[in-house]
Amino acid sequence: MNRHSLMGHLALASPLVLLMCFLVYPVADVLGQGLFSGTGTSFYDVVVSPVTQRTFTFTVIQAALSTALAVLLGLPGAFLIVRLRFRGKSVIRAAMIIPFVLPPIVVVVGFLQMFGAFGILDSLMMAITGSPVSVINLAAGLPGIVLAHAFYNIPLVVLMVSASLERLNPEVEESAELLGASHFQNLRRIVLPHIIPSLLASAVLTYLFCFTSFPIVLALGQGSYMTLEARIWYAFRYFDYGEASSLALIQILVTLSLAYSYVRLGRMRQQGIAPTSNAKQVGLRDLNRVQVVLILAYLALLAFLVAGPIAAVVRSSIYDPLTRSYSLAGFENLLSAGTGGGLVPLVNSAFYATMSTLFAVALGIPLAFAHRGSKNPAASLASIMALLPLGVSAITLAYGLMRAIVVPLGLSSNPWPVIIVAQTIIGLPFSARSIEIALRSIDPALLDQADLLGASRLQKLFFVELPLLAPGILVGAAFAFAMAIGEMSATLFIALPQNVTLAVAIYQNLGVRKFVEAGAGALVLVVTCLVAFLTIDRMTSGSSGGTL
Amino acid sequence: MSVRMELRGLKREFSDGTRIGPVDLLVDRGELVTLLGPSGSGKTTTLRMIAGFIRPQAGSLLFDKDNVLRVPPRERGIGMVFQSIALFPNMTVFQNIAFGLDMARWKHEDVVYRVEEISDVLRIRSLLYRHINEISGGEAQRVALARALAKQPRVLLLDEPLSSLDPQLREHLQMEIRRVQRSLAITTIYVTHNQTEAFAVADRVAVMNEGRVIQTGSPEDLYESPRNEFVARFLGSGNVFSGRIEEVREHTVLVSVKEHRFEVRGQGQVGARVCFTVKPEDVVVANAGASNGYPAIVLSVIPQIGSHRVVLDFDGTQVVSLLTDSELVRQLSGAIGQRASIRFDPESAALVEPCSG
Repeated sequence: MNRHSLMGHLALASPLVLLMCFLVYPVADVLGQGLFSGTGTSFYDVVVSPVTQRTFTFTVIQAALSTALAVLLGLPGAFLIVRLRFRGKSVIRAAMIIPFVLPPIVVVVGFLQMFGAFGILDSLMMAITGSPVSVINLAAGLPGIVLAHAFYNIPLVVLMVSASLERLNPEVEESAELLGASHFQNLRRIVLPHIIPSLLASAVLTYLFCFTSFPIVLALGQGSYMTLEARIWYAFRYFDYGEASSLALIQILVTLSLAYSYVRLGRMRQQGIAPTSNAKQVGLRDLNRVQVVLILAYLALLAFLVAGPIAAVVRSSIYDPLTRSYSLAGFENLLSAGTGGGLVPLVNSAFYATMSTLFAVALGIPLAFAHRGSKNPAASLASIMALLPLGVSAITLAYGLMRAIVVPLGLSSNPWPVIIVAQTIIGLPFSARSIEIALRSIDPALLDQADLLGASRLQKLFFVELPLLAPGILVGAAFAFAMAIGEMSATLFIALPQNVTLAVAIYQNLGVRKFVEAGAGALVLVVTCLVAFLTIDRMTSGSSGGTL
Repeated sequence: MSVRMELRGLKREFSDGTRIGPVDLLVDRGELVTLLGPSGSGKTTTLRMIAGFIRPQAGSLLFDKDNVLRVPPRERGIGMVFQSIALFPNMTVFQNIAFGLDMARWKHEDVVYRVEEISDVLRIRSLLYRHINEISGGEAQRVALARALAKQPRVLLLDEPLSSLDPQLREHLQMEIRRVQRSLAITTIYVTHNQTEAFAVADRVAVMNEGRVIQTGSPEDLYESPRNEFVARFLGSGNVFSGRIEEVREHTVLVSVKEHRFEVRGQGQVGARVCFTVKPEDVVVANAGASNGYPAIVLSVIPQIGSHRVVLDFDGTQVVSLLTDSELVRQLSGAIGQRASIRFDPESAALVEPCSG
């Protein structure tokens, strides 16, 4: 082995080693604790406890309802975006990625403002009915949780299914038509079998996200509705490590099998891959009136459910539902440095997110390179490692880091480095995937050409590959930054008062009913994430959905 | 079963300004006509108008005596093989071929009988239970053809069906398509941009350009007497010269091309601009010293089956000649970039119109 390839292996091995230390070991430690260690409730007691069973049932059911709603509302959108010819399609398609980069806690703020008591919908209903008290509150309990999850995941379903639908060769459908298939038969025998893998994949991913959803459940469920994730957090706060670990073990069994089936479905999706062809399209004018009305109703519903909460964040930053008046107190609070002020969280957020973005990119590049190396064991290890954070919930990760890193290293009084570690790991799947996509689109002939022209391996890397990768790296960085700055679960778990980030501060402000302060923070996060989105969109020229 | 198909003035204008037609074409019962033309000439659009995927704005499409323009595609009784083959990827070969029969609610034993029958004709019986991703390109082609033919369509449409195959397989499948088409005697339109392929499979060839059928005829007709400059150039059958008529004789005219004069069969007005073509095999090449020839520079000598193809530059016009004299070929090969001479009989040159100059 010569020096260059030794360096290469070291570079590729370092992210794996770091992930072993900061992801696999802490999580394994937590799970081991759940099974074997004596402190707190034992695994058996946790499993048979009615509370656990109720929590588990609720987690499963809310995730199933959320997934069903997201698929139900997303599927027509996928067909519309592929089959209907209309102006501004590329803008809408690009904007689909926005909910995905929005922090969940911001979504909570938007939802409360849009659908909550004295929110936009409620004000409207109050005006109509003339009632002085709140009439409707959709932002609480199970409806609120399911709607917020649908908000997140409708765009995901639309993006994944439409990408698959676009790859259906129109001549296949025309063949079926010539052979006598009606529209319905065509849909059932040709179109549906074609999109089923991506439909399932999007459903599995949605289910996975909803299953481990934390900020939305915590804030909208208000303690009376709890998922496993929320229960782990409570157990940890009440020092019942046995219960926390046992629940983490139960949860991880579910999430890992979901993540595994997502990856399997991904392979299936790639099997029948055809180049994106000119999908069959119709213009609005070719449709009859009933169809147009249905489409408009659908779009209005989507605008209400998806665009509404985002817009409502703006109102929430200046409108206080308690006093029913407008104020700028939220923004003043953001600039105040004292206790309960917003300046420290703002600075913390910027610092942690920047650091973890740098790490996520630095680790993402070698992971992407390792992943490219086709069928060797290192490549599959790299791809498992890059996807592992998807299957390990944020709370489990934070819990593991607390147990395995913070306490033994004596960081308990100021655990800020571990917050960065957690945010890095959460952003890593996205940065690695973006970079990998860019890497795969580099024409291998270019590298051979550089070889023939006498470039050494390092020269090739620095003068050819990395410059070509730059847009992909920037996209990865933007994704990682958006994920990090919006991260609330792990940060809430780890942070002491001096480590609070903006996302955590929003949650805490909501808890003490300081709504404008929460709203102003949420608006800052929305703007930040929109900038990240615009970066992503510029760099990928509208095909950012591929990262999912 | 098969019909006599007639296209009368089929016309369509697209929003981007592209205009196709009016297209007129007659395909007799059991005849195979190829639509031949460069890309963008309207071949595929014409085919899709016949299939019913594009609605013409004017004209009629007759199957025997019925105008079928208002009949939806699925009821026209058309079998079609697309350029992309477009087999259903989620089904086996058997299910693909049986699809149309299933849609027509045939009884299961009839379906099995028919699928086996048609797969015998196409020699793919052994593939019936394979999956679509387990068969080769040539096999996929046969399956697509079997699928199109299973329901005994009235008309068969083939849209560049062999364009994705390598040349040897393509030649083999051309013969297969011809064999199957003849044995079933099905009225067929075959779209291609490849002249060799068009000539190999066709009863008659219809040459298209700029949305219209320019000339229809047997391969021999087209080759021997191209109607205009485009056909001559596109079929590669003619070296095209342009010049002015200087003198009119009894059966010929004297045409001046730059400072040279050629005697050409045909009639015209003195002073008129004309083009004439000479087929490559009629151009006689000799060494530079030969008498009564015109000077030309040798550009290349390329061996091909049965002859050598010699390309020369005659005052800026490219002239192709086919030579079989190996001694002469040897001499010319050693004289690339040097002068030679060309000539041809007045009888082998023909005036064509219109002429773009």
